[in-house]
Amino acid sequence: MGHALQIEGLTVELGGRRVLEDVTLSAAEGEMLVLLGPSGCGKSTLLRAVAGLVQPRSGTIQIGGRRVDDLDPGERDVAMVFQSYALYPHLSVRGNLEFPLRRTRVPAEERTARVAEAVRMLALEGLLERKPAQLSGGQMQRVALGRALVRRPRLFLFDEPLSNLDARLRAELRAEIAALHARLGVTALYVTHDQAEAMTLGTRIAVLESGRVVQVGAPLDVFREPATTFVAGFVGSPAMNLLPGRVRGGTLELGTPSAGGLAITGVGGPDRDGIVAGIRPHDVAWVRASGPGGGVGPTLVVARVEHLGTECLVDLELGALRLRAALPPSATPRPGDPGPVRIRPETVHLFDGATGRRLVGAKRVPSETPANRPPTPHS
Amino acid sequence: MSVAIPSGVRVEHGAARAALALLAAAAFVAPLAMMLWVSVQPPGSGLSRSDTGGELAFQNYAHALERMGDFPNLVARTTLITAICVVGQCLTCSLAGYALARVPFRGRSFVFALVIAAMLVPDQVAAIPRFLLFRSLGLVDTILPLVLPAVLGGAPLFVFLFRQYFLTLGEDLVEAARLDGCGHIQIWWRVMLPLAKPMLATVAIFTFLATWNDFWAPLVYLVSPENRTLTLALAGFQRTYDTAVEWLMAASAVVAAPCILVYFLAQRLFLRGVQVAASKR
Repeated sequence: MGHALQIEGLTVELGGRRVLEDVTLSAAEGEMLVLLGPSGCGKSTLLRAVAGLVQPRSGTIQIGGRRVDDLDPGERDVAMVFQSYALYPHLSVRGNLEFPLRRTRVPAEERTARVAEAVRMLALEGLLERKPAQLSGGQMQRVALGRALVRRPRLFLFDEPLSNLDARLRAELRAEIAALHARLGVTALYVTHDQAEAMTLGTRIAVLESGRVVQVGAPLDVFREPATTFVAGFVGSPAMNLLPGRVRGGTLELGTPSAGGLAITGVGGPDRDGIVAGIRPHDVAWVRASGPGGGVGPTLVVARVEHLGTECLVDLELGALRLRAALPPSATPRPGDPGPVRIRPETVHLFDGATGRRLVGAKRVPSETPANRPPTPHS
Repeated sequence: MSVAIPSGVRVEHGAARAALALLAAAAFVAPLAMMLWVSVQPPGSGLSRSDTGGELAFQNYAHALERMGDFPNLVARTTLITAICVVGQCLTCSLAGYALARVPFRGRSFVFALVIAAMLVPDQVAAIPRFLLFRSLGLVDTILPLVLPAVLGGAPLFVFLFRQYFLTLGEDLVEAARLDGCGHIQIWWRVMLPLAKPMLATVAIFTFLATWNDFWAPLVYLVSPENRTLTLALAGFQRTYDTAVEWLMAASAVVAAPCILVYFLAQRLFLRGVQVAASKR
């Protein structure tokens, strides 16, 4: 399958500050490539560079095999959906949908047909004569989607299109965008800082950190095998626990013996200092000790509890060691409750403490101990 | 801590505001009322007459228009000059304002600084160089010296106001239009101008009033009697010994009527434009 989008060595500077650094990325035909990262990481700048709204300092951009970095935005055959909708306030919904077609001199008959198709797909019937000010946020974003759809571009660009909507509408429109993408098979570049959007919409996810692409892969691959501590901490909700430690004889030792710590046996790998262990809160099992000295392994104390309805987030402490666990909604821990934790060694991610990179071969090492065996204390 | 204000104090406060507003309104309305009153006094009575005898001399208006000369031509010429200035000012100042607000180009800040600096230069300072320029171009005694400055965007205040207004419209709109295939001229014409109606109304009214009532520029540039404008014709009423005040007021009322009418028709848009221009950006 050919590349609908090919970005090579793209560097962008804005106001003397390097916002993107040597970005190389591609999207296959029909793929939804999601750019994921925190605010200020350069993901929107990358999108705007592809759109032609930002001039790169170096690098090339090809859309459909055609180099476009010297072309005006209107000549790149891309359509963009903005976070702010960017609907023309003085035009009706129909006027907004027809606007790009009129500018590109699409014949009236085809224009009408394309608008009618978009209206049908996005359920905009009955809104055509309204002005944007008379629409709700969800309706405005649908019109913005329609304005992009009628152009039938080679590449769709989405710049955090759901960020201004409330949670319910966001979920609705997310599903609609996913359905539209599946139905039309269009190539799209989608910017978001919302990992739920990234995970559900993306064919692949590109995670950006400080203007650099740090990992590209299928959503589940990025989630299961984060390439760096940054990705590990950013992808997944609640965020992964990242704890300094070391490996001795296949056992992961977390925390410092003097201030309390945990040992997780069966992690494997050579002895090594200065590592960072990543443990997802959902992989931490905690049970309240039935009494003094109850349970198995070191006792962690509940410091804070957040009931989210679907689950219960608990901050656990053992000396200086802090660990977050996501427990089933039926759990009823209270601050001050003691209890041991259970962490399966194959769920532990190991990273180099100095570079933050994932340690090769450190993932899912076959456990020598039963998966549900609790860790043993080393303090 | 919140302090409850007794309702009596609020009423007094409101009454004081209303009284002040009435005073201010009276200060503005009084000259107009005086003009209208004097314009219907019998000739010769003027401001000194205490007894009108119940007779209002509406025929003053007919006499005044007759004395002004070729009134239809005066109106036509003044209207033409005003219309060109209003349209020209709106178009060129908005175009310059758009460029300064939304078109990135090298030296934009410097150009904007020049616009601001130009606002500080009084018109009178440029009057003589401008006259010499138009005389060297052979344009004296034509309407061109009266309209060219407006057509060429020569009102830095309006350029500034448009720039401020366009900055309040989101940049996303410009970017969306660029992606939809528009160049900057199309964006200005198809997106920005339709959204700038309040500012257009403000600039149009200011320009209309300034041009319609302009006495200085027509006096300097228009020499031939057949090229006169309404304000020059009004000045013709003033004589050393026998100024017909009643006729002058009648003619003034006729000349001022379009200004008052235009302001009332576009009042709402005008106020919106002024509010936006005054907002901090």
